[in-house]
Amino acid sequence: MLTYVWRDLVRNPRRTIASIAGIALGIGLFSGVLFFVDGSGATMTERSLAPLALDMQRVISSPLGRTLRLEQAISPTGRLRAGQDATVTLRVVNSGSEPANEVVVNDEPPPPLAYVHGTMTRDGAPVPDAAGSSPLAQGVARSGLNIGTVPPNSSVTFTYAARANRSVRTVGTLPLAGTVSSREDVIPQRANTGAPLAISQVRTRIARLPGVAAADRLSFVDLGPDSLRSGTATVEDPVRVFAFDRTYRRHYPSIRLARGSFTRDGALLSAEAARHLGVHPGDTVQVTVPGRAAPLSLPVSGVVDLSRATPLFSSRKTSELERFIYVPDAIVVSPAVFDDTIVPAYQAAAATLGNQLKTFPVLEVDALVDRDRLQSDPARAFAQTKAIARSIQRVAPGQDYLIDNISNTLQVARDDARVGKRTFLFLGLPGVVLAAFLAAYAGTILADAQRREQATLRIRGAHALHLRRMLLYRTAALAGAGSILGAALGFVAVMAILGTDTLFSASAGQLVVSGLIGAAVGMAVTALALYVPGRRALRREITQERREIAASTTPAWQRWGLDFALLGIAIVAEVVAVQSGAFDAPVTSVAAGEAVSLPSYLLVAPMLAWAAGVLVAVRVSQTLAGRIRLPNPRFGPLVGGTMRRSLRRRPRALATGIAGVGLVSAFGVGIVIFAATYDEAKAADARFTVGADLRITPSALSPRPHPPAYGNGLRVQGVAGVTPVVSELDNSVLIGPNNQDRETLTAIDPSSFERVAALSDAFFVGRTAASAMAALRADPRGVLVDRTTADDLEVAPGDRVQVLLARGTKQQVLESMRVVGLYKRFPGFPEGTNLVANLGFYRDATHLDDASFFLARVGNRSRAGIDRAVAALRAGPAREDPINVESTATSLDKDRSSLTALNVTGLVDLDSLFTLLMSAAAIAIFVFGLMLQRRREYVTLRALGARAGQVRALVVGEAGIVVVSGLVAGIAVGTAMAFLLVRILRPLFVLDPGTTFATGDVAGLAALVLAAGILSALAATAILRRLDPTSLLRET
Amino acid sequence: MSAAADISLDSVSRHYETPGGVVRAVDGITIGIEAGSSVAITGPSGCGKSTLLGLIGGLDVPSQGTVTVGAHRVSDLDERERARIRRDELGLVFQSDNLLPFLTAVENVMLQLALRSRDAGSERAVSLLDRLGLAGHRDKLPDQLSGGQRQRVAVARALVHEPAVILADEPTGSLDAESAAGILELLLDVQHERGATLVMVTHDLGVAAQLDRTLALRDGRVA
Repeated sequence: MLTYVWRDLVRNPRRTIASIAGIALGIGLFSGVLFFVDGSGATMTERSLAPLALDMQRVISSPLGRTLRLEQAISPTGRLRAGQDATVTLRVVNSGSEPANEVVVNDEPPPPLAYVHGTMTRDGAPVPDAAGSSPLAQGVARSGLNIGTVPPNSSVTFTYAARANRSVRTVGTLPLAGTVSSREDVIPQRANTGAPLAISQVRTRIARLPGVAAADRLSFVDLGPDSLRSGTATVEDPVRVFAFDRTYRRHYPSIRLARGSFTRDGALLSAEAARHLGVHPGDTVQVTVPGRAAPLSLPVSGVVDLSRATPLFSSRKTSELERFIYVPDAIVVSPAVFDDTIVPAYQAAAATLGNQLKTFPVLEVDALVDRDRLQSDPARAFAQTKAIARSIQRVAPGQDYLIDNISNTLQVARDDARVGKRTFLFLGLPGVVLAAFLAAYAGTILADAQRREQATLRIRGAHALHLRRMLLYRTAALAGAGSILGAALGFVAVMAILGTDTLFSASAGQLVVSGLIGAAVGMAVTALALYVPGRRALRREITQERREIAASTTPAWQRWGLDFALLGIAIVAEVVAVQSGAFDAPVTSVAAGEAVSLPSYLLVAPMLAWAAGVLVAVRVSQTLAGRIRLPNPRFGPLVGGTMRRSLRRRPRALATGIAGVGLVSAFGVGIVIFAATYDEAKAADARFTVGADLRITPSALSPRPHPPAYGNGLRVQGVAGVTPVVSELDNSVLIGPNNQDRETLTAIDPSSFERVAALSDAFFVGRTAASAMAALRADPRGVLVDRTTADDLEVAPGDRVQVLLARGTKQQVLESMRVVGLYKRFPGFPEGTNLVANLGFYRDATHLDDASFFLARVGNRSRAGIDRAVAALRAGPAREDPINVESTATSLDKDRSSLTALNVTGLVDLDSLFTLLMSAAAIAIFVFGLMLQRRREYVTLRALGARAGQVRALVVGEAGIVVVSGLVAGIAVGTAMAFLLVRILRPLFVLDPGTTFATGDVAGLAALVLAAGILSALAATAILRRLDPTSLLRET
Repeated sequence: MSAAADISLDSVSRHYETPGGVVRAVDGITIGIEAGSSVAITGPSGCGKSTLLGLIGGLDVPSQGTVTVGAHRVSDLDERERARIRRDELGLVFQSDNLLPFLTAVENVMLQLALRSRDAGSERAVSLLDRLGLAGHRDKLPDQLSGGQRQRVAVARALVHEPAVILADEPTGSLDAESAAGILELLLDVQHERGATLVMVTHDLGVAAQLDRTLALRDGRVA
């Protein structure tokens, strides 16, 4: 029997290929998506880590060094019966050269021991209890005792009695809980901890750990205004002093040496500081350090551009981790100078009573993880970095804390990857559905074609069991071959789209599992889809089977109204999702440690809408076909009359074809619109982030001022408009009626900004962008306020407010202004700006003339147009004055969510490829199935004298009606599906993505599907010509 | 009505290349059939009867020899011309009715007229069906008719355009005796009435005996 089935499959290649083709393509798409997800995982890991400034930071919690320690002991150490007392001794030792002030000792006896009231002594003298409790654990908060100052090289000893509430076998094993802290070292230090490791020792031990590529010391401290001078020149703003060595600079290349060299004894000045002081390498600068009587004099060995040095200026505050907070005036010294001069000075300053230090030095070890060793899968990479973090934390525990940026980022990437996989799987699931549909379709045709053969077998004595077994073998062979072929096809397609490097960056295990899942799911689903129609056909009587019209009873889904039910569920799911705000998830950011939130059920509505929409379209097409008017009592033209009657009296014969083409093209159209929307949203986000097409920022190395007029020189070929922008972090104070706060103010020229910037009406509250700019223009004292800021400070449009402009500079000035509007977001400031003012007014009030950056609009917004404009800027203005140019193209590489790092274009290419192939397969299966079912009709027409062209017109006409109907249904359903699908993109972008109907792409897809239909029909008529009418017409 | 046509076959052969070698379905047959006569072609299964009928009807072309129907040398014509002859001058009836399942009885008959004219009316088809005893079944689909009724519709379709030649391939083969007799009687009546040439392939010697002449084939040759 196996042999018979094998021969049947081999000797009827057209049938076999038709059956396998649909399965292979559907499973190819599904497996392809699985492989794609595997390959893309690597991209997600790489892309999410790419912008990371620092992998891990081990920050020393006592930067001024620990000179204070607590020794604690308990005696006896052996057995203690209930009611017996033990003696606890605590000794505070200051081994340093500076006094320890505000020393606080805290301790409670370990349970089951309890403090015996009135037994506390200090250096042998009794210490009274505090409100009935131990002086070392007072009140509800169990606060410690402030013992004041402990002089250098001295100690203070406490003893108290502790009574056992129950018997203790070994007192010496009880955990001791004493801690000590001081004003200089506020973090409580546990008793009996060993001598702290020096930071250099911590660095060396971390550097040796497996998985750590490098560990470097970084120290810095912020000094106040006028701390840096050279001769009579002084830096009037705050100054930051960094200390790192040459290895650090090599590991973090964003620290760029502009002039001179980086020597062990010399200091590097930031370009801004050098400019402010007018110094050059070889000159000397003086640094005033708290706690040091004379300024520190340092030779300048070089000038360094720190304006993009993210490792140095990334915020260390947990509330704004990794935010780039630039301090323009900086000096870099060697670690030795920092350790030997600056830290002791701070120690002295901190130890001086009455001295209020605003900042303390920060000492840290910055560890670079060996990224080459990280797994491509973000989840596995996350597990690896967590293990490295645990190893680092085991070095000198309690002495410092770890900021694990890389694990935080990978955790977000892992969560994003999960969302991405779910989304991608959703985009792959239609492949399985289509494979099942095409398999079932092919199975029905196959069963039809085998009717005669099975009848012959029955006549020759085959019983039902034989036929069922044959069906089983055939099904297994077709589903197995199709699924394996599909998995292979998917693999090859992904390899072509992603490239071997990306695909094979996934582990072999992952790829094998994906291949097995694809083949297994495909085999199960398609086997069922093939077996069911075959089994149904076996149950039918052969004579029944021949009666095409009588046999084509209304399908179950139509009888039960499954299409309307599914559509109803999709609508309800969508309404519920909208009502519950599921699409309003906040925009997330890897830097903020936030993963994309995307509940799976949001994907249900588009999926259901897809299936239900096509079924409804099929129902509608049948209803319309049933209403076709016939030219009774005349026959009408041969082709028209025949086709009208065929369509009207057997509409279901074409329904499957319409459903097939509809499903495939709806999927294709949905994907095309989804991709176009995604691209559009990404581009809009990029423009919003940049502020316009280009952002031109004068380099820190530039020696010249950059007044608004500087923008005129930036209007090179390809640049259509330029506008100046002034903005500094927290450069103003907004004073409302009841409150005030530091704010970031941005000053713009409303006229040119309106022409250049990526403004949108949606950014403003209750007014258009044009009217907001007009308001700023009309009232120079007008200020636009961020909505949240306005809420916080209780100000509203029309209110008079006081604004301190140029805060922290000598030009700061308090001005009365009027709130002329509110905005939700402002272009060029994805992190937000609180206030927007008129640049002209700002300049007049502050006499500050330098623009922070310039925004530019290009004449041609294509990638090539932008590239040309950037090239013209680099070739022209950049040669005379160093500038940094950021474009929407470069901004695309800095996506907010690692999910947007996924190669959606590649996925769309994959989907489009399979959509086209499946469309062609669906049409070919339909047309050849039609041929198989109707070949006797066509041959009869030929025998009766119909011309070949007339028969061809009938075949092409019916195929054309199916393809066009399927396409119309597909475009309508695909558009609706895309509308639902693009909503899930909302959390990925800053701006709300609207649905972009890609007319050209949809038209191209439709043309290709139509062409496939026509070609299939013409191929079918060519086969028709080869049929032997004499024998075919004799068949009974 | 078309004028009755002579049919002549001159050294006609039809060979098929198969993996098992050359099959000579018709092997050098030369016959002549007078216009207005009726001829039965008999012989065992596989002797080439239907192939011969297909060659006369222009459904197939001979490997060798010439087939002439009336004034037309069918074997030399292209498919387009052969289709025109089938449409205008031939009426074909098969063992299976080969009615189009989505057309009613009258529409199946009108189909033959529609092949010739863009504006085929139903009058002639209706009167023919009435004559064949199908007056009450005109608007029924083939599935709603019995085997005999369907075959009568097929005969009506073959006769409605009043062909010069009627080619029937075992038209009674799948019918019971009563229906078969009725169909045969109908074909002969029409043939006599209209003076058409009737060529009928049959296994049934009783049927063959009712025709003017019998041509027995064996192994692709005239026995």
